[in-house]
Amino acid sequence: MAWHAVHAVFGLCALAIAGVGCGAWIANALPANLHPAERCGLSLLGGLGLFSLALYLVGQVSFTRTTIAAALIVAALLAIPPFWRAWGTFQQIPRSISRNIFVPSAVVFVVLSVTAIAGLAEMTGDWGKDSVSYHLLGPTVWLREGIVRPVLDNSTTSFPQIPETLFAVMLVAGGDRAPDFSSWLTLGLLLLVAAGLAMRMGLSAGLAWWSAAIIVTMPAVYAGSHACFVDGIYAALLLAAARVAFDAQSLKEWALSGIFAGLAMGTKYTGLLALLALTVCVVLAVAKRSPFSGTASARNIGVALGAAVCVAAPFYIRNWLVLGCPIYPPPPGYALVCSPKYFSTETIAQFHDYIFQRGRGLGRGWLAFAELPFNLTYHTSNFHGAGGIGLCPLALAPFGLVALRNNFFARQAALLGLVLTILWFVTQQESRFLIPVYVIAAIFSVAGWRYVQQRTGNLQRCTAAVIVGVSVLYGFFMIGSSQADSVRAVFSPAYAQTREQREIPYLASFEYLNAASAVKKVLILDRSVPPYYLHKSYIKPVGQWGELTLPGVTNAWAAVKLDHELHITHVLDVVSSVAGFQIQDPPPDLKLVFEKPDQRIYSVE
Amino acid sequence: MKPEAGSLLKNPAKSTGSFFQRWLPVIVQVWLTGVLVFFIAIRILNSNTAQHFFASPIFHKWGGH
Repeated sequence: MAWHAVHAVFGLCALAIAGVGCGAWIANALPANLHPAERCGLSLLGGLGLFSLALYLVGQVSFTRTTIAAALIVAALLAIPPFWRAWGTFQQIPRSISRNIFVPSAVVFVVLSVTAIAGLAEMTGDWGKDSVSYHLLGPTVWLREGIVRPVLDNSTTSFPQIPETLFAVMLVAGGDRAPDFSSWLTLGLLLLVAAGLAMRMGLSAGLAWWSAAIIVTMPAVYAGSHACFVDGIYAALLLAAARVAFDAQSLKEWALSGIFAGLAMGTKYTGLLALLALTVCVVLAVAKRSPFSGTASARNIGVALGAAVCVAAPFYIRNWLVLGCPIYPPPPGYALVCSPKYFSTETIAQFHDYIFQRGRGLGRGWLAFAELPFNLTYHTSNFHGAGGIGLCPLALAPFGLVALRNNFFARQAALLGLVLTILWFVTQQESRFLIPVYVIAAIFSVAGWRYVQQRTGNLQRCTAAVIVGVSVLYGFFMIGSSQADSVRAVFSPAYAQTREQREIPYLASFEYLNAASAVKKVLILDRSVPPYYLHKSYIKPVGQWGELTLPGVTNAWAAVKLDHELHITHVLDVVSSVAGFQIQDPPPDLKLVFEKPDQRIYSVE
Repeated sequence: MKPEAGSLLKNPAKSTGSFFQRWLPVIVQVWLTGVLVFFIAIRILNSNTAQHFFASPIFHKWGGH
């Protein structure tokens, strides 16, 4: 375990240095009113995004370990000047923590530490776990194939790939534990961006720490920010774009806000809707600025939008060229724009139906919208909310809205939260997709807490403090119970083995296939088998969502007949929740070489 | 004019305060207590112990569904 930890730390340090190298210029381009810590955080966040984008573009031609190592070295060389300059200011870093931030900073420290430790456990899970089914599958296959291409048997690997490209870098530099280990850094960056927003909205440094503490203990935020989920880093990029855009004056600042928005679009498709929300807010804000200049405003917003489109375009153009649709799997109404490959019309309809059912929440009517603050707090499972958002937003944010009603920046943030919520409500009501709004709500909660403290008596102050305490403790409990298993697996090799046996489906088959030197290329017949655990080339004729990866082959059995043409050496057949054994009467060229309950492996003779 | 004893005018700050400001402590107390109590109630009702109880014959014997 110690080796895994050292390796992962090395990989994350290498990536962070590369991020500093690529993002050093951002510190100088940010608006002048940023706190130094916020400036560093935004530089690192943007640098990581740009490093990933550059590597993604290079990866379209070559994505070998050598390419990645070379990219890391170049980016690390770029980091020398900023580190040299930072060395001079090292003495200015405070050596002690003031008393008023001790509690919230301890909360943040504990949660980030648990995240780092739990991240060192081996990734386990079946095809229902996003990190196994696509967030890590894509990077492992790219590294094996030496090129960045969507994995055809899982269409979700074609989602925008800023975080996934970084996962690939960490797999190379830090081993298989590094991607999840890095969650503490990306979650920390989200908290830093949130704290910066809080201070810009008029809160003190101590209250900004409290905002971070409330955010980090929101189970829904946490669920989207660890185990290789990308919602946390997406929220950080989107809020960074908003932070810069709401204060942008010069053309450089507008372009920078566009770059952050583009990186958000390069992280999740929901970034497209978020850009719309951000544009609405910025246009309304610009119209209120004095003196108002229509031409200058149009130019500024045009530069921001242009930068956003340029940064995000590679992901969407690549999909259009390779898969037939810029957004893949295609959204409803796609037939007017594109013709997706590898998917039948019926399969796409089934996928849409699944998304619609999963994201329906508690309805899409006006009443359901009005009840959202209540439902997101108490009926968390209807939104796949992993325990919800705690009590603070519902209890204290309304008073925060009253307290900050005259703060123009806060009004812009509130409007952004409202527009994002409306877009989320009418599309897919998955709790973790709303993390940017939860962050804004948490900041308003802290403003509301301060308002209550200043304007009411002891009883109300105590009740507000109890609310915050209960909310944070509830978050601790939910996070602790969700991570206890992983933490135990880190410290107990015996338990880690038990966990692997329990949570990795068909582990015995994967162990056999990975160990046997005769295995070169595996045909996986069942669509529920997660190929992330297979370290050899493979073909899955029918993918997780019904993707058809081989021309003219509409079922797995048809692929068995083509085993020689496809250079298959072994065939994996299993009994799963979706199908039984697919080879009932093996053809003469297949020889059974391995058998366990519900799993068989044939070699091709 | 000299304010009468017990009148709101005795305290100019109170007299100029809006309805919201005067009732703010009450609004805050009711709202925060409601959120907290509802949260605790829901957590208790959703707990395994409560779910076992709702599924038990005792609950049905009392007329529960």
